Amino acid sequence: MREQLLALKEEVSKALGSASTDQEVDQLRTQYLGRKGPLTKILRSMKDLSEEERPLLGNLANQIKQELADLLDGRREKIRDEERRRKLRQERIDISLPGRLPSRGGYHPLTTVTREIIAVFQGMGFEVVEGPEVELDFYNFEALNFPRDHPARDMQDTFYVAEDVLLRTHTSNVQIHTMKARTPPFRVLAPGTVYRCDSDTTHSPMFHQVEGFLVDREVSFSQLKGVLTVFCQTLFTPDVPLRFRPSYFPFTEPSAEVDIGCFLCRGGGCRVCSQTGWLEILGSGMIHPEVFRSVGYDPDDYTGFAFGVGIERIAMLKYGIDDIRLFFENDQRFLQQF
Amino acid sequence: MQVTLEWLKKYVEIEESAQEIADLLTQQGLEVSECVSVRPHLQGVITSRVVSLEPHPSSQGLWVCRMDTGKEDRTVLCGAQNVAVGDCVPLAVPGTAIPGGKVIEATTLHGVFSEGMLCSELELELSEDHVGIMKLPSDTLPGQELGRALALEDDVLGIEVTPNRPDCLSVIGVAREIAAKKQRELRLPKISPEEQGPSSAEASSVQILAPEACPRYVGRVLEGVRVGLSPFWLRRLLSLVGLRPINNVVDVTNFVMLEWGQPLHAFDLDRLEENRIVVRTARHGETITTLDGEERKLIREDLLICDAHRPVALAGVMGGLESEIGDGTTRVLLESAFFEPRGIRRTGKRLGISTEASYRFEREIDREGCLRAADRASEMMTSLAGGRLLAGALDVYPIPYRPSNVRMKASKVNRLLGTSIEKEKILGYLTSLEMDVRDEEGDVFEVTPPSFRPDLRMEMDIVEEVARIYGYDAIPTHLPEAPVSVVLAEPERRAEELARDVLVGTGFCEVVNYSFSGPDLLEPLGFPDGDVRTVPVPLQNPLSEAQGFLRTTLVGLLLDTVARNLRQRNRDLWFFELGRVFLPCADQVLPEERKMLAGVMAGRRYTERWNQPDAEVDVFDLKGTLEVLLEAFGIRGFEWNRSEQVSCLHPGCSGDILINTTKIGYAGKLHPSIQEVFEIEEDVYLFELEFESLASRVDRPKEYRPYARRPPVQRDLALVLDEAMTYSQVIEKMRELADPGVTEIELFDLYRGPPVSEGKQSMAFRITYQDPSRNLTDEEINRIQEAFLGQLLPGLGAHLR
Repeated sequence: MREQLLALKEEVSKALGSASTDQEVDQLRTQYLGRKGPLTKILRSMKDLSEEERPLLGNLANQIKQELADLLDGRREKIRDEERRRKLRQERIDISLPGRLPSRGGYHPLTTVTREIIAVFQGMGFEVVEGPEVELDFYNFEALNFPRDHPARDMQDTFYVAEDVLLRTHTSNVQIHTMKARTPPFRVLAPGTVYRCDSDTTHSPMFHQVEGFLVDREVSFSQLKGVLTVFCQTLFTPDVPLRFRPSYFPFTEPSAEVDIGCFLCRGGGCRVCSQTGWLEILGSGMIHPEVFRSVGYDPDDYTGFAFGVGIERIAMLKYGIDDIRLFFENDQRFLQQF
Repeated sequence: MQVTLEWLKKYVEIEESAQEIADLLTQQGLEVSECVSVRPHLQGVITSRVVSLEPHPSSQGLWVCRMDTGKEDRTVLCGAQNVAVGDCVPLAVPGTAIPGGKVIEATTLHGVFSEGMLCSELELELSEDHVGIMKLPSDTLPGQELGRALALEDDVLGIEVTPNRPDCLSVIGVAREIAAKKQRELRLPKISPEEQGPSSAEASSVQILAPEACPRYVGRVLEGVRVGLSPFWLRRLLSLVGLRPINNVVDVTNFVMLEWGQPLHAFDLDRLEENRIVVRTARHGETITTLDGEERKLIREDLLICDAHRPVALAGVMGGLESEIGDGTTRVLLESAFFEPRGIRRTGKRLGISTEASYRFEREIDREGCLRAADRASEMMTSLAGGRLLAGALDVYPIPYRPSNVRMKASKVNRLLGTSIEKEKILGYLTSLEMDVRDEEGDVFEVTPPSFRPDLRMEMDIVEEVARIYGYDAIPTHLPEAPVSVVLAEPERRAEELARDVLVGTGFCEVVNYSFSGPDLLEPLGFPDGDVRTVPVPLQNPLSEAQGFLRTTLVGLLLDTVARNLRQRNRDLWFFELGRVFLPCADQVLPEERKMLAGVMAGRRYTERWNQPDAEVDVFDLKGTLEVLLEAFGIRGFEWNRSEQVSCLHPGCSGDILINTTKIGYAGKLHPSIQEVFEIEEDVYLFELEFESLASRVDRPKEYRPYARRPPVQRDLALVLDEAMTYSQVIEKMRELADPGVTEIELFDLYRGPPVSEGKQSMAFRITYQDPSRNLTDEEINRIQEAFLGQLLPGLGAHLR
């Protein structure tokens, strides 16, 4: 019987050698280990053995049974493994082929830049307010200390709809609407569309601005510098060189133009910065006492500052766009880049 | 305003380079936009003196000149006829390349050896003058480089002077800024004109009939003037700063205007009737022919300078043609006046004239400086054009200048700026800007700004001056203190972001179109008569007819965008715009500004790829987009009702969009005939919605609804229905009759054609049954479905397929 068992083991391992599929292995398993198989037969005949022999051969039989099972399992595992590897080899595809894409959408770059600007100022406690684009002369000019027949009005060529009704030339009209409707303190950001009769590669008859203003007691020019410094450092880089220089806007005093160091030439002078090494980014200033008077605030009670950023200007600088008209041509090849 | 560095140096010491001065001025608020170095290439051109002059032995018209060149004498042939012995002239020695590229060589001409060339101003590109050889001042030493001898090297600074700083529309004004910043002395020219002969009052008179419009008028009279070419330095200087030299009299008026900022005008006194000046407003319909030859029609507001009978100049704007200085002029009346700024601006604007003079007058000149400028010009004229200045000025000054006083506190200055500048320093800064400063007790001081600074009237104006001189960069940087507050995006903004996010995520590109539109983009859309969109708000001064009014819909411009892209061979265009339209309101001055959201789809559903089907977009892509979009705003199931109202859309494939019976817009396939108008050769699907109807829902509350965890059971059901039956009729009926255990009914197939009989259609639905609390058995579902069909089939007149 011992010989029978050992021969069986020999036979199985031989048979397994030629088995190459899962099914063949299963077949062998049934054939040798199944109810009608030789091992079962041997185990059944165990009862005929002597008391001494039975445990010895019983152990051997179980051991052989286990070994056979392991052999079969091992073989099957090997076959499966080979099968997996064969499959992996077969399924090799050219992964350099282009992917399957849905239609490619994109935000307009002006939207993206506006969102970025708003995010920075929201972080400094500014809330967003909108105002009308068709506006009365009072809100766009008169209340902002642009008197009639004053040369300051030449700074902004205006589209008219009727006498004293115009397309706003800046988002500063929101200052007047807000101040008339509220009591300080407040920090407001007013993004929007503005219009000027002007059209070339750097001027568009319609463009976009973000106006910001803060009114409170004891607001100082140094705070204006603080807020705008944080803004420029966040929108550009933390180490961007900044320059505040005097300028003139009728509705602010002192007024300041803010320049950042040209990031293309790093101050050396190039075409984009007109060889100056600086890029004009925004206009700003302390809100003019006359503006406060026109909305019924006492300039001795309140002070504040205001600023205006041209969205197209920032977008042109950020993305290296050299013609403002591209924003409004809406060519798909332009739009899909953003 | 253009100034040159050498000119500035006459009034203030400057050791800095032109670029340094440009930076300094920019930091002071006088933005230098241009800094051009002028370095004429005149190497090899030297000064020389004519020692002797003989006619060429054989060639008529040629002169043989013996030239002193400092070291040795040279012989030079010259064809010009304006050279005389003793003249100092420029000589280009052999080997010199004169501007224009010509190289001068020593050569024998008609038997005479010539070593160089005498040059005209034109040949040296120093001016347009080519009448003859250039004449240098008679005291010029021979043998110097011409560039050095004439100080031709200079730098021109182009300054953007803001409207509040008329004082800086002058070289002295700019020099004053440098002096103040650098704490250097401002050296003003000494003016002491020599008067001769009778009093001016005997030769002329000035009468002001409109003192409000002309608070001061100074006249000075010169006799025996010889009008001619200005000296080279003056012509050169004017040219450098962009003015065309005319003659010595006019050039002097321009020089003084640039030097002091006071526009001057010179009249030919003999061409003024009765030799006198009357300043008055125009009579309605009166005309004047200005220097440029245009006849100007006037209104009562315009101010005129007249002689005894007729207008001779449009005050402060432009002189008259008839009283102009000419070659024959010998008696000059020099005008140096102050005109009220607004009036000058109104007249200039109305007539479309802007001159160097009007530009300055409308910004307000220095009323106290009129006489000084007249004297300066008179002195220069007598020196350059000869003649004599009659005694006494005709100075009519009905409304004298009233200085303003500003009392202020140093502490307030510091509070506003966020600085801690000592009072003493503040006073120093203001004094350097020629303000009259009176120190008072403690914190207080009083300031009287100079008459040339009309922009300084109140405390804040003075604070700005302190800041400018102290330097903006020196002011510390602080953040405002404020209680911590959380600012969330406003609902409207969140709604905008959401709409954009959804559409961009679905594959749309956002466009931004102009708010302007024109008839070509509106009329084809065919909005019905009486629709507010057909009567847009027109602009009074549009850039073109195509941009003649404000848009009342986003659609026309979007279709134009599609057409433009197709012309560029761009394909698969999915665009949207979120923007305002402008709708006129009866009885309202301002139109209503309404935010709209519009989209277009044309081309394929997917970007063209090797492994993607080439599927054209159809109306259900449009509808799917709207479903996704509206669902993002919590709107499940909107109505899309066929409507005859939207005539720009295909009548069989379009309709109004309604939410709870409220119309919020329209959508569908573009009408083929409009496709043609816009020259679009493929199907276009579009929608336009009132954004407010979405935005108002952005903050709807969300609440979790438990979902069934038991396994769902699905049954398919194919109904054969009348062809006219719409999906929405069928689904409504099904929903009405469905058991509460039905959680979803989905159409998965729609079929027409055999074996389904003619006039019928088959709709196949997948019905999902699910009970939140227990497993449903087959028997239960069979029972439910049977009961359901029992009602549904007769209700729809359908049978099972």
